[in-house]
Amino acid sequence: MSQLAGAPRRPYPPAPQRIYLMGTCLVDSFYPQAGMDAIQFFQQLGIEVIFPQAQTCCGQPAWNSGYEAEARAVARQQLRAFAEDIPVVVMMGSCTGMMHHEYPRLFAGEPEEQAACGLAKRTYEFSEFLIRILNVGFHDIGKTNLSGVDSPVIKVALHTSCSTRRGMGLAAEHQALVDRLPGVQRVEPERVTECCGFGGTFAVKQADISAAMAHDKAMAMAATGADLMTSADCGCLMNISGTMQLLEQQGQCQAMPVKHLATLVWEAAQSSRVVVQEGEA
Amino acid sequence: MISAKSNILGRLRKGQSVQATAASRHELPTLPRLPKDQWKASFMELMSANHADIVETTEAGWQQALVSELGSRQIGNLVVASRAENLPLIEQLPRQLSGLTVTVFDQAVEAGADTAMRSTLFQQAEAGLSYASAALAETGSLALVTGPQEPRTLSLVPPLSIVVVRESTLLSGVAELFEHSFDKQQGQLLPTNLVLVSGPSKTADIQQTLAYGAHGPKSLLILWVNDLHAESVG
Amino acid sequence: MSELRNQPEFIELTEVVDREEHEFADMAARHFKARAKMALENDTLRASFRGASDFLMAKRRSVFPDEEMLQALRDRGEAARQRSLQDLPDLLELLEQNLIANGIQVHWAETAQQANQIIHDIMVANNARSVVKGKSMVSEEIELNHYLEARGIECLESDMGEYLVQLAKEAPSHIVMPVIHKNKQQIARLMHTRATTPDGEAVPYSEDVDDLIGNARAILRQKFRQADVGISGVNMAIAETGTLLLVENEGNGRMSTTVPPVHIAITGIEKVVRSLSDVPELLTLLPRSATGQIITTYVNMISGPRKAEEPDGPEQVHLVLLDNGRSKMFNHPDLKPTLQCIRCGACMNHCPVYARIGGHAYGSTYPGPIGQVVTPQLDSSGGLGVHADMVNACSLNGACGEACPVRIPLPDLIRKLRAEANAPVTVQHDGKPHVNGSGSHRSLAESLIWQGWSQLHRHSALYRLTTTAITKGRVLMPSKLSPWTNTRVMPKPAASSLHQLAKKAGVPSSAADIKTAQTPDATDNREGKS
Ligand code: SF4
Repeated sequence: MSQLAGAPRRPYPPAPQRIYLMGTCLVDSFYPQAGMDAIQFFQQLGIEVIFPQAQTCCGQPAWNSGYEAEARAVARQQLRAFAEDIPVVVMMGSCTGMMHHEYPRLFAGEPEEQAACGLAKRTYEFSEFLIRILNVGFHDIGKTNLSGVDSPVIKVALHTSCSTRRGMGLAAEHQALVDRLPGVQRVEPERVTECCGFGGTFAVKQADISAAMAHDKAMAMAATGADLMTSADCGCLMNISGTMQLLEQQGQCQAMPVKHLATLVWEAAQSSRVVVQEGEA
Repeated sequence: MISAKSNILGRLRKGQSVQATAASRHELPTLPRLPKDQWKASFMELMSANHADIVETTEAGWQQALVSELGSRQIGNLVVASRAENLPLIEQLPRQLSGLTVTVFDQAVEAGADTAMRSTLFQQAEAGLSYASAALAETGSLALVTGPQEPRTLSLVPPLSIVVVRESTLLSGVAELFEHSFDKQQGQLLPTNLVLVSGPSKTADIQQTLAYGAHGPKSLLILWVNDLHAESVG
Repeated sequence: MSELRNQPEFIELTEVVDREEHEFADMAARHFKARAKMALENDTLRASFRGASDFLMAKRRSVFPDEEMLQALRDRGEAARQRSLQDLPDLLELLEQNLIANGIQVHWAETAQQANQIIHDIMVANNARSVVKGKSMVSEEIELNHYLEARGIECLESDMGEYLVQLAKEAPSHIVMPVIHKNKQQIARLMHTRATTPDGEAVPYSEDVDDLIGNARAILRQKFRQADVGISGVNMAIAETGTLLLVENEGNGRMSTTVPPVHIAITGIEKVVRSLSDVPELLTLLPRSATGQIITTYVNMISGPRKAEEPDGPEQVHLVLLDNGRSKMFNHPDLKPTLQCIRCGACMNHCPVYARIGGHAYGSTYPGPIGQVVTPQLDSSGGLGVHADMVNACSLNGACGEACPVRIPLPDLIRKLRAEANAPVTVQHDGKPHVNGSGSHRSLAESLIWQGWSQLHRHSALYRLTTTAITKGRVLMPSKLSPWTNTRVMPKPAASSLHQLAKKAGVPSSAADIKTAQTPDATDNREGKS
């Protein structure tokens, strides 16, 4: 079990009985199973999960592109979808950052300002929620590790997105979560803190620069020799893995499969006993 | 351009209400300063890391240390300022070191035929002798207070800059220097040129490779006068 | 003419150097995207910037070993700059008053043109024909060299990097390390073919950095001695004491401000601080953030020209205070923090975009994140109408904001400038201050896309319908969607959306739904809010 480096950056409530799940638009269309994995995981722990069908997108694409009014209109829909005072667990770090940091600004001076600030306060990124609020542990129940001799350890390359690392300050939580998974060896690529080049519309508006950054990140990722890559930001996952696959086609590297962190967590929960409030009396 | 001034100030005054500073910003406590027992070690370490040569000496012995350094470095031309402390040196140094010319920087650089002083500085001078008003521990710096007794170019133009500094002038850092010596309320004014020197001149402009002797001195020699613990130094 | 210059090797190397000059000019003449592409395709350039970025980031880390101390220092740096800005107009008046009391002449310039003219007038009044310059980004901003050279005045850059850039007939590619884009071999060729020793000879070819610096030193020493005027920038102007503070390592700043009989300093109006007590924290942050040094070799604090009894120093000292758009930044509610900048360059050293395209691609005096923020706001730059592409060249990864010693929220400012560039007419005319070129990049096509996107995502039923269509239609998805797929394999949408999966699995959509649904492990009596 890894120790958590650093004090929490914000106050955390005790483990709630009920949560909202914000899937995010990328998970919705490209990694929906990760969302279901998270839902099943929480349900197994006895936490009620509400998945508002009214949720859409946090509004970040427009906000980052300088379309403030358009972003506000979309954000307003999330204020409605997540209206009740229930913690919101978000499947991506960048959308968490949008809701936690930007909503109060987006609605400053607007009628919804108070609602936006309220939502911001109860919005948590997936690994943040697992580590800081649930403080989960995965206890060996002998399923994968019978003799302790040839335990199947998989090498997992972790990509922490810039919005998770810098925007939300959750790099340590990300690492801790991966480190707590049984049978997983965490590796990280060279220049781990550098941006993968996704950046939303940046990848389209400045495609050449974005591609150069993605190329370097994909090569560094491949160089880890990991069995699979994980992240809680699907934009980065699609960017890095798409680049890696093309580079593989060109014979420049060997690509690896990718999984959202929630999928790894759910898989771990199948082969171990999950404990909430690990190490507390 | 009076109108430029009033236009600029007018726009700034209009903008003063925009994005006010949080009041708490005024109340941040000052950061701790380096404890006194670490001052000397810090100064020495930082200066050495910045390629200064340091000779530890005493009040009684520093002139002799200067002589031996000038001798071993084969300095043929030393420029000194016009200050009382230099009077015995001006007289004795040429006697102790044959082949050493001591030039006193006591006239304007432009003075003399063909601006002789400037020519000496730029062409003949091999070393300049300066006196630091203070040494700063946290950054490893020497404070030079310019004036007739410390011309600006004396520590700048000759390839070797020699600086005499007394341990009793050691301070924690630049904050203390300002409070200590340049408190305007106390009538302590800044000189026309206050320079903090933290090593010989250098540059890393070419492929981040460090080279010493960019435009200023190629070497900095510090004569560290141990005036606090005279007995402990031989 | 030396024989060296007739050798075939010399002629060959001259051609290489000339070609590099043409490449630079060619790049400078293009648009942002084309410049960026050229830079990306230039392996030498890429290697120079990657190496420099890695080096400078590691150096900075080494002088901030304690994370808590670093954050405490940044708090103070930010506070010091904000305090100064809070009182800016008063501090400028106080500064002027104390500078004059110290014998320093003060000039105010609203525009680049005015600043150039002021400086030229001082030169004319002093019959000056030659200038030696210390490092000054503001003088680059107003293109002072061009202005003076067009009037027959020789302007020589004396900072080693600036000198080499001038020899190459290029522009600085970094605000602290101007020639960061060239490697040793390129500089060796440059010095060999273009520099002239004081004896009128060509400089012998050498790739040894000590040789290169030694040769430049010898050439520039002559110039310092002979120049009529020295021009420098300013890192901080201290109002209460009437002091100009400059930091540097080479000694050329001291030379330029000390040896010539006239010293002209030029600075942006934002560089003023109230008192000496504001200096230590900023002085702690500046060299550490810039070059990973605890302090620069020289901190040069000038509080007046030579006094009667002093044997040296300039007889006149002038300060030119430049606005060029700064007072407008001061009035913009979101962009005002631009003025907190102390020009350390840490943001560009940490920027992954800068590391790949380098400084010249930005096509502006200030490159990198601060360049993206400040350039469109300068009166002399042409505003967002010219520079909107630059503002888009950012993934908003936040590395710059994290490195900035005075906590300028650079990504927020970049985002705000995008909003300015795309501002609809209603916003442009809302009576609030706006950046020059506000709305100039609002394209009908793009705004329609975003409006459509917004419509789609604010109506959940419509959104669900669309995601269903996307996931259903995944087999029809094109496998190429340029420009994304030029360098990536196209991701395929999943067979069913999460909305569909959750609905199918009976996951409650609202708290009210829970009453009817039973969670498997819920044994205790949970009370629903509804
Ligand atoms: S914006 Fe910040 S990091 Fe960039 S140059 Fe200015 S002070 Fe330095």
